[in-house]
Amino acid sequence: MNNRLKVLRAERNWSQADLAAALGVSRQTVNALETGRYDPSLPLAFKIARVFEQPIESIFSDSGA
Amino acid sequence: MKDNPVARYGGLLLVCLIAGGIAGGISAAFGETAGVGPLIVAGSVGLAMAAGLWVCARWWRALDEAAQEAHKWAWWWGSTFGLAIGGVILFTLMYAAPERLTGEPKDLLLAGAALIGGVQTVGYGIAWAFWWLQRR
Repeated sequence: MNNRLKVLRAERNWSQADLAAALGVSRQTVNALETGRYDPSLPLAFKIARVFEQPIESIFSDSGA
Repeated sequence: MKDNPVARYGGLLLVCLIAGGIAGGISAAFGETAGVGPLIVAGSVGLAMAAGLWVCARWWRALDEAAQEAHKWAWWWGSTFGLAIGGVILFTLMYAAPERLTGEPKDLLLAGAALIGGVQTVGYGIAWAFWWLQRR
């Protein structure tokens, strides 16, 4: 699965630690999400969408599609 | 104290130490009475395990989902590989080098459990580190 987390975070000038605090996860988890090597659960994906005020489908896309 | 994890777990450690002291005292006073010794051991170890599980449950709930996933993956793969490797070592010792196993049955039992547990723990640690290194 691909995502635009890094871009969205950079647009807001947030550090990984800032995003981690907003999501209630560790900085290592944010890094794993941004590199696309860890796919979030649905609850976390919805939380990410709420934090960035964007629909989930504009943040995540299926790499197989 | 409620918001300070060091104080909280220090308090738990103190409670366990006091419980251990009480169990030791009861054991010294009544341990020779037939049938009481195993009950004291079962009660003390059960209490220690319950306290450990309580700490683990609190720690687990504090982890985020990726950290939990890393531990679940490490538990399955690392511990399973560790169990398999430990099993090979144990059976090799039992059948290829029985002359090395000269201790009391109780000591041999504990040594076997420690061997398997130790190798599983090493496997767990390696698998946990591997999971995170893959996702850097």
